[in-house]
Amino acid sequence: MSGQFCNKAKIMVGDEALERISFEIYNCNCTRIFIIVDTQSVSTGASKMLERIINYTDVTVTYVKLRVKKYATIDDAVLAHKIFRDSKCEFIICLGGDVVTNIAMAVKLMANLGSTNIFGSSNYVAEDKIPLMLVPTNVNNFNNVNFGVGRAVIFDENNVSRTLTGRTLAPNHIVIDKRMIIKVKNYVQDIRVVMAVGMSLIALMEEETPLSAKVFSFAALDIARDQLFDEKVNLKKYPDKIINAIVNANIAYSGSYLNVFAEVVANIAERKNLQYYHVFACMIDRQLAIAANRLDDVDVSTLGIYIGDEGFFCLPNNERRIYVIGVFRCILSKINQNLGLTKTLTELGVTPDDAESIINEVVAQISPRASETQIANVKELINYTL
Amino acid sequence: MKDYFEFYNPVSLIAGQKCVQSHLAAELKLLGCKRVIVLSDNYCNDNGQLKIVRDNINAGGINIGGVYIDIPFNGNLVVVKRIADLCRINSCDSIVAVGGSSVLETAKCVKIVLTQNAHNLDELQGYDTVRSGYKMPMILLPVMCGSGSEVSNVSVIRDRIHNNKIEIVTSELFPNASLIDSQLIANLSKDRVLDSAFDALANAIESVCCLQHNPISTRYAYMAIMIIRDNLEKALKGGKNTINLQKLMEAASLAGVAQSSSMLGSVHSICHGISIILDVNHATAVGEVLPRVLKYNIESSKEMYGKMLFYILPESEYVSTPKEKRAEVFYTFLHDWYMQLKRGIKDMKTLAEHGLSVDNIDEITGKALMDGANLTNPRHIDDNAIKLILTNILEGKL
Ligand SMILES: [Fe+2]
Repeated sequence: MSGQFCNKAKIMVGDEALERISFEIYNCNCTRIFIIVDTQSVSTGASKMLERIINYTDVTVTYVKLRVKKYATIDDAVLAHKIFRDSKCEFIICLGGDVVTNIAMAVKLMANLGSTNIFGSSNYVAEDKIPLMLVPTNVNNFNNVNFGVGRAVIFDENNVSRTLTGRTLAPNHIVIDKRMIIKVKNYVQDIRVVMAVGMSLIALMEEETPLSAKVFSFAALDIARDQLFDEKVNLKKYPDKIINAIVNANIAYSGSYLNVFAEVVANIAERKNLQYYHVFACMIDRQLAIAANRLDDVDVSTLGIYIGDEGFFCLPNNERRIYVIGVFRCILSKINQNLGLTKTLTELGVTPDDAESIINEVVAQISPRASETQIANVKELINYTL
Repeated sequence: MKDYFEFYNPVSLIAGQKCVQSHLAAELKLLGCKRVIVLSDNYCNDNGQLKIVRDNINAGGINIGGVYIDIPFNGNLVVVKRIADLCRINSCDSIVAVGGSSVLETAKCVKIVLTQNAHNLDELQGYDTVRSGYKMPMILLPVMCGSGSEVSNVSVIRDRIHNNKIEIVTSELFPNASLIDSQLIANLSKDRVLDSAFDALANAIESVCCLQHNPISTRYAYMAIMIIRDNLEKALKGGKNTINLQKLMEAASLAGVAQSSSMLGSVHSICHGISIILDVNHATAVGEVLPRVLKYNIESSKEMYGKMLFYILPESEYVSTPKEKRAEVFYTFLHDWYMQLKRGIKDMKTLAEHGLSVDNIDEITGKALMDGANLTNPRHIDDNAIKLILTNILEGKL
């Protein structure tokens, strides 16, 4: 089996991307637009600008401004959905960071299901009737970077995080426009680079990643290339580029059939109430080292030409994987070091007892789909990073 | 120029040997299909592909509301209308098509005639003139490894009355899913495998060089080129194992995704011209046209050729080729490779043997000039340039 892959979102990137929104709405035959924004996008003026552009055309707009919490909660989603339903909207635009994005996806799912009861499994069969357009402004905590994929994390009534997946909540458009992206400090940009590059490489290494998902890995690496290899690049100048790289990396990361690494990181982040990126950054180096030998020859050679180091091609086959991944490990470690991120799970508060149950939980979750090597990988990864 | 791109390909791409058995019925159910029309042609009827597809729809307990197999080569407007009427009469709610690009593109046209409530296809002609219609799930199963129709938003259909081709480009043409399964092409003849693979190569290469290329489509294209490099010769050697054919089919789909995002160039306009006048498959023309158009375009695409050389040559040969030579080696290699593979296949005809001659060059040039693909070609192309390319093909010169 060579795999299954689907990316439903139209990715629209660059100058005046916003100005094309009206055309997309028109194409979908929609006139009643629901816009959900977080308060940060209101205060930066991003939502004003979006409003101006949309109102230019013949549509009715209903606004919901959400003062978002740290996580997307079911209460907020239900509230937003009620307004969506009462105003008989047909098209959702979400402007903001990852929290409001998760809420918008939940609203879309509710609208498609015709019910606020979204934690069942019925979302797999619902028809995709309501278009959802994401206009990212920010990636705050990386706890659930879901731009571009059919996956949302929502906290239920008991404050337990629940992951929703399926075609019926995936976005239909992603609009990346410089003017919407919130300016952030350089270290945040650095974190994003680590995430984009790390996710891309992990997707290449996981077993049975479909070719089309790998395509997005390489596209993300291409988009982030300057940030990796050109020290003179002023990160602040290209926040949209990095978000674009993240969107692509994210599509690859979630498109890899069985992403064991993602499961481990999510498990630890949730268990210890840590930022996803923090755990990710702590474990990425080790995972790259462990999984390097899983890269297939063609991808190794493609990464070789990507790093632009002609010396790579003089190496014997068996040394290439280590070498090329070494280049990436070096760059990522340097960034992580500058950021002052911890290197071990112990520093993050994970104990050997935790390790035991993390391993059990993750293995239970991924088997029987996972291979022996993948299970061994989980154990090695956790024990080593402790 | 503005720095903007979009990439869109919502097709669920399902690939693997025997994926028809494992995925077709399940996918139809997921899409809520209850009554399917099955479209195909005589070739698939005679060679068993249609049976495999019908059996697996039946096995999944889904109703077949109609089967239409009289789809001619290159399709045509009348057939599209006939099938659309058949769907309406039999109240089919979804389409499954198995065949070559003529069948798949006909199916795509039928879909939009239905979802747009149109009578005839020519009402919908043009670029992005169609808005989102009602939903009509569609699954496509290619039986070749070239055009990439199974994942693209383009349909080219013959208009017999005007001896012309109608081109429609709209995202409404995308199928919901495509199943890429080499059991459906296991008995494809070698000349077709070679020509299809070069068609896929041309799709990939043009997509990298054309004006609308973007970071995602470019990577799709590179991936396709590499897979063709690694599998074409093995697939031509044949044998019982169809794994290389499977890979070639996947490469063709990846190239199809690339080209439907970035559009095409003059390789395709010239091939369309040849295909109309000589009444041959579009893929038949690609192998001989591709390297010559690339040579013509070199001044605007030098850097890209150099990059693509890495994906088409064995790595060591790429490394030992001096930088300034890479672009030239790229199209020369494609030319030599095609000719060499072609010589290895018994009785494979050249374009001249298919009827290309000094007498029809003008006519072909006329058709090629009218083709929209020239607009996205990286270098402006005129009738003299096209005539020169065709003359060189006749004389066997690159
Ligand atoms: Fe083609």
